[in-house]
Amino acid sequence: MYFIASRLVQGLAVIGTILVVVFFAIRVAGDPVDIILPLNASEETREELRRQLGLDQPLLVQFARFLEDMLKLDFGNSYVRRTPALPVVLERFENTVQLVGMSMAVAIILGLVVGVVAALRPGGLLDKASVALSLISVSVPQFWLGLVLILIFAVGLGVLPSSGTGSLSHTVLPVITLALPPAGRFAVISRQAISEELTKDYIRMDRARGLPNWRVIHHALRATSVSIMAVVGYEAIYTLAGHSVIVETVFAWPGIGALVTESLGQRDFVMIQAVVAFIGVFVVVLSLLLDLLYFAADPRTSMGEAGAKS
Amino acid sequence: MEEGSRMTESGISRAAGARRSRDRSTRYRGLVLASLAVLVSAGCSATSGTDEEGDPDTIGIAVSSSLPNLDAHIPSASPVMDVFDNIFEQLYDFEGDGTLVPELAAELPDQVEEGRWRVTLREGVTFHNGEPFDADAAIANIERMTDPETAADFLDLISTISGVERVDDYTIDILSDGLDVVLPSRLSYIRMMAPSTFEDPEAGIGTGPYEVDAWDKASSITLTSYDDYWGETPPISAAKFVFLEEPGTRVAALLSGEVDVIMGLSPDDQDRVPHWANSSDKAVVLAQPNVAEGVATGDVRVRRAMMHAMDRDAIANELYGGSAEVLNGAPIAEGWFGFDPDAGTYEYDPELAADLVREAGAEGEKVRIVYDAGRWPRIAEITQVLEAAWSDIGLDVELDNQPGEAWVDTLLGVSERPEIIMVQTTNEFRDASLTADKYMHPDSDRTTQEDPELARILDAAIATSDVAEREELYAQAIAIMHDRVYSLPIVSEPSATVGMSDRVDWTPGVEARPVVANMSFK
Repeated sequence: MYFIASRLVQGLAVIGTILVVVFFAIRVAGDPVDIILPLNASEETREELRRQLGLDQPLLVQFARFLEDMLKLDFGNSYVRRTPALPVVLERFENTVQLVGMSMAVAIILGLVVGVVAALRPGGLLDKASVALSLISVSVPQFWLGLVLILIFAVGLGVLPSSGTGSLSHTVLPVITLALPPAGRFAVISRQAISEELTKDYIRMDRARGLPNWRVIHHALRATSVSIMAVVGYEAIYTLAGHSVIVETVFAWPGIGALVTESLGQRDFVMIQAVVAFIGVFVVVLSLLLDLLYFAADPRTSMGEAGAKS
Repeated sequence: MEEGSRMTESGISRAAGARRSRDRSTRYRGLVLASLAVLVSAGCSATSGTDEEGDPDTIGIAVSSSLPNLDAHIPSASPVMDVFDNIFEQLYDFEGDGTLVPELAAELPDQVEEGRWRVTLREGVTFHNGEPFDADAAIANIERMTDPETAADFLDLISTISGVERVDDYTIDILSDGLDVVLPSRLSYIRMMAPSTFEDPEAGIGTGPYEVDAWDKASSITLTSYDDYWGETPPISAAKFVFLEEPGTRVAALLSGEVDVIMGLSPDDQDRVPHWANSSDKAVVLAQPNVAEGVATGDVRVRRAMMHAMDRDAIANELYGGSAEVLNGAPIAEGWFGFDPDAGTYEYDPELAADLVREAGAEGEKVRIVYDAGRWPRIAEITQVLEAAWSDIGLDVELDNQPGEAWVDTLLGVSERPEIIMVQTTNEFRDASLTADKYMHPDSDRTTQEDPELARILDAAIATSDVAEREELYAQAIAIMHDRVYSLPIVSEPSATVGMSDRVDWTPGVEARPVVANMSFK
């Protein structure tokens, strides 16, 4: 219980910090009124907008109002779109989750398959090849990879669309682009974990009992699942909150990453504020859930900490 | 024997293990191949589906960003205007050669007295929702767009409009503060939308040849030809504008045949696409100096030295692949009213430049160049070329990249003025008045010069409608700008470049906006 409570408190502290940073970062970046209005807008117009946005109030009052709005899930109206920001964020977020979800599924399958194959014959040709491929996939910039895949499959072969949405075919290239680097990392980590696991006594016992190879590997995979799960969880967070920006831009995928770049270009500070706050809170909640999942999978996660505290 | 037997068993076991392992490897390979096959076949079959759904009569156009809303009065970004120019119309617009022609007006405006322009409206025009376009609709649009509360991005271009009055059902008077000779050009920035939709930013109801059919806010907008359009029925019945921010993605979409036209083609990609074309409209690149006393650039000899140190032919040829032209005299491009082909120029002469710096006693003086690397193509490269050129003549040059609003604040003098700020600017009126008043007039925040002689000439140039007199006044102004180097003009370049597929027949107009009514399939 101490573990869960501790993680909850930490999560709330991080969410609070994110909201403070979001609030003050926007104001440090300059007067939002200057960002919104044309250069030659009159002082009366500026004052009126300041009043409408509540920027004429003391900073602490503004912050209290901001927190109150956040609690009510009111992220304000986008001044550029003239519509509430939250529905736009949610719509785009759904697209990103779809893309990241498929990418993670592909990455897990590819990573585990390559990792297991490599671990079965350490030092063998397949092992060396898979390690090399994994390192290449990790090292290749996604921006470049995306453009190369577009040139090959859309421009060269003409079998897949280069960008956009609308059908399953539109997801293939962005999913592969987003999946390859994490697949490489999963492969390296699962190979290492399974190689080590395969040298343990209980595996020797499995083999001595004449269990088929797939059951032995199944046992090894189960034993390494917590460590692999940890990597998968955090990889998904990084992909969702960071890497998707680049891939969505290259493939014109209408997700949260593309929304960020669009909003920056349009100087839509309300939308940027909404995206940052939403993603920040989402990442914290997801991390919390992952921690709880590890705790459920391996209660020793909390024992160490509890022991250390006592 | 026993040991040998165990070894044999072990050997058998290893061999069996190896077989199992091979079986497993085969199964894994099979799994990987099967996964990829499913993924690719799903993709390929879905692509076929898209092709089947695709309408060969629909033209695909890739623009560089999505649309924030469909309110004709608020946004100003080029990709938005690319779409809006098919949905909304103005009283007047520029033809391909830059001539202002009536659109929703029946004829060019008549200046009935100083500060009062009479506009006769075209009759029989309706908005896409059936509302009539008449004097009341035109007045409502002009009043809304000039109202500061609307916060129109183009407000500064129409700010001299002080009022609008109804004369009859199809005649209005537009009032300006004093004589404003470019007022008809200003009216080309007021797009007419159905007054009943003013409060609905997503309606997009105009009078143009195309109406909104479907709008997927994140990825595309599809337009179909408007049956009751007042003009000729356009040859292409539908257009799908897709929002592709990344330039490389737009090129790939064109090369793969997914779209027919792409906007914002980079000079580097021109050789890759089937066809490309430049706008006839120009953007000018200039280095705006701080001419106040106490800084290196406050001395006109240093400014002249900086001009002589720039190899502008090399910049035009190497950085723009020959599509740019060196500017003479002032940052006024050929094709704009007031351009003076006989204006003076500063030849590339680094030795003379170094002598001038020495003469001014400015060796080692600091010159900070503020620029925004992401704002325009090539601006970062030009700035680096200038850094090298001006360092070579003895100045202590420092680069200061200020993105976004920071650059704007510096340009307007809100932040500390540097010795030089890099600017690229277009001229919406194609008239010297706009650029000169922004960057050369002492009343402007964008310059520190306080030359009363230049101010008097520029004021006189916008206070007369006599064409010959205006030309003469701008020639005088440009001569002063050149001699006193109130700005460092560098090059002019096409303001837009587009790429096209083989099947499109289109000659881009002055701004190279993708006006679908002017396109056809070969």
